[in-house]
Amino acid sequence: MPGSLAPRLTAYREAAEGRATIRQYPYQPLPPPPRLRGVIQIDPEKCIGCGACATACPAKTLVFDRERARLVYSVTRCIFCLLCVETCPKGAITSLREYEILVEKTPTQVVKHEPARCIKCGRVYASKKLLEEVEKRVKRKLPHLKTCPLCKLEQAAMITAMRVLRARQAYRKR
Amino acid sequence: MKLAVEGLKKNNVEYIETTRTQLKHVVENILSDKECRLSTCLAYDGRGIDGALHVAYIFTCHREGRHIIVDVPVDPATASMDSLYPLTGSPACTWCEAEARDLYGIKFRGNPWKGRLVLPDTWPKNIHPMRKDAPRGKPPVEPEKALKKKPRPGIPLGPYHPALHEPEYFELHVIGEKVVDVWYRGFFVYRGIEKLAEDRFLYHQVPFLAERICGICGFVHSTTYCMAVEAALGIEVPERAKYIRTVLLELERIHSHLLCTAAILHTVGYDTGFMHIMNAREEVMDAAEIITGNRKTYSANTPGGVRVDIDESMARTILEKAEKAVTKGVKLAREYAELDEVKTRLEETGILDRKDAWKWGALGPVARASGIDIDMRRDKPYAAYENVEFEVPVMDEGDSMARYMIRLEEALESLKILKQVLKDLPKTPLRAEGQDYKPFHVGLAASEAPRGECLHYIITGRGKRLWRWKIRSPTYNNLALLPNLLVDRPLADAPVILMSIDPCFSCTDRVILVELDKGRRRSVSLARLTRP
Ligand code: SF4
Ligand code: SF4
Repeated sequence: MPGSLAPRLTAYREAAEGRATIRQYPYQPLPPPPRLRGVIQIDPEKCIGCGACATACPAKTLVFDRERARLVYSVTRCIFCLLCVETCPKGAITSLREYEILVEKTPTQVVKHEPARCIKCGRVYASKKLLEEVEKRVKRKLPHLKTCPLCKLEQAAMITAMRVLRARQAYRKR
Repeated sequence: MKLAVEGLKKNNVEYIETTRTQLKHVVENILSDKECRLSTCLAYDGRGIDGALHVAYIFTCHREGRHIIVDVPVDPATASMDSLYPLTGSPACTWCEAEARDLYGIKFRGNPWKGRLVLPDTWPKNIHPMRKDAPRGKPPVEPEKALKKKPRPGIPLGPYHPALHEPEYFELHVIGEKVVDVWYRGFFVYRGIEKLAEDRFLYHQVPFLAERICGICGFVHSTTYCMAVEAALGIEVPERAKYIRTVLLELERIHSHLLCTAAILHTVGYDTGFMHIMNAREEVMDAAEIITGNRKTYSANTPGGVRVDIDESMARTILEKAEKAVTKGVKLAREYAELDEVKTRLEETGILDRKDAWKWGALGPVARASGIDIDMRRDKPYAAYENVEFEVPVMDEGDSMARYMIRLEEALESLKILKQVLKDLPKTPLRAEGQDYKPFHVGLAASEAPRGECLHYIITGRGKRLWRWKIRSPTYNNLALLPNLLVDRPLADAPVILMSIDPCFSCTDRVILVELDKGRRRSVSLARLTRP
């Protein structure tokens, strides 16, 4: 096949020049690129347990458990988009240069926070650190922070109901 | 309440509201312009908006870069209307209407596609998964159903087959060596992405989902989605973001085209060529990795801009790498196409002439290899394409060889675009600040994916969620015409013709893995439907 001779030679040349693409992987790992988006790490010191990252997470990998005031990250569902890193107001999340997640024990990261209990019903509704942070930002004590949103709603409803009652009484008296 | 469509006008999209009785008239009017043809159609559940189910037909007038949306309300009580298939005659029309029927339970009178398309045959009749009131939380009960008898012995190609890289099922009926009929069944990997996004995702999280529609050209989907949101909400994207999108889009096009040519060589049995081209392609993957930290899933898009920046030294490295990949990949691919064993398999196989290509709705390289001069980048410039100069290669042969060669030409053009774009990136911020999310706005965006025109249609909803998100990937149209190409061809050519379309099944199916009993197949001959 004389017509095909030139390309065939090219193929041989190419084969001879080809670069070796196989490495002895676990002993000779591939250096990851500088902008690698790898497994994330949450700094328990910096994290205040606001749950913003959990709201932002598209894959619902980061979950904020309000009843126990803890942040749970299970790496197997992470899509490495780093929206959490972008979102965290405290810069508590960093992306590691770690990409080998197919290991026997899948690492799950749990950041436990000191729970804040509602002074009315006793339910855990946030982390203490978050409440402290809020007070620090507004630079004064906020007593209404000590009740959970549900109790607050109840309280608000009560107040409204009282108002309605009073208004009605006032109307009747007239 | 009415949908807000102001965002569309700026994008050269016409929005026509009509009624069922008027529809035929309106469409005839649109189609009287020979440059316009039906791109796709979609249904959405408007019962939470104005009390009706809706069907929207999207037309593309390619050369003017104009889109027309024709919106028709359908009474939910009867949920039926006339099909547009008799009017348009494009196989993609039978598909999109069958999809609307499966997912929304709207009947189209006159649509020849009788069986299920997207849903498995065993899916209960009265559950329409995309409607807003579809039951959730438990899998639907499967009814008992008799196995359909096969009408004729056929040669199965798929759902898992060495010539197919993804699950799709073709049944080729042969007489001797010649294919006489093709039975097609797809959507084995219908993952419900659209529903997932509507239910669980906030609008700015969807780009990450959009990117996972396709394993090859994911970025084009996230870009098109972002453009649709930007159109709907009137967000101005900074210039620099547009340029960076262009860079990534073109890198994607290069690696997709090299992959396709390599895969064609693999299909004809020349694996040496496959290896060498894939080796050359690695450079592009590296370039993308340098910019985004990942070879393929870039996670670089967000409505209103991009999340990565390119500095000068980076730009130089990327260009170097892209140049290396393209010059080497194209040179090798061209030479290998001269080998007798490759040439004889590609030349004159699967000829698609211009008339059929247009009528059957061919897009992208498939259309351009058949002499149809369309390219969304030029016809309706998005990203930074209005500021760069490039040519749209067109070939007239229409055979597998032309589809192979045209991709190489396009890779060279992509390199040209990259050079211009990377020369001076405008110095603006990367993202538009201050986005205002408004419910019930419509957005439509089109882009030129490596496989052709890619459409995303969105309706924004309450609570920063989407009401409807429709994706029309180019393979949706190209695959629908494929059975026409296989008929009257030798059986041995089938895999090559298939590969030369460069089908991407997952992005067509794009929608929870549904287990399908292989014996329970609903066979509809698309070939018989569409053969002239
Ligand atoms: S990287 Fe993305 S997917 Fe992973 S935890 Fe962060 S936000 Fe979630
Ligand atoms: S956003 Fe930051 S501070 Fe808030 S819970 Fe997540 S890691 Fe902690």
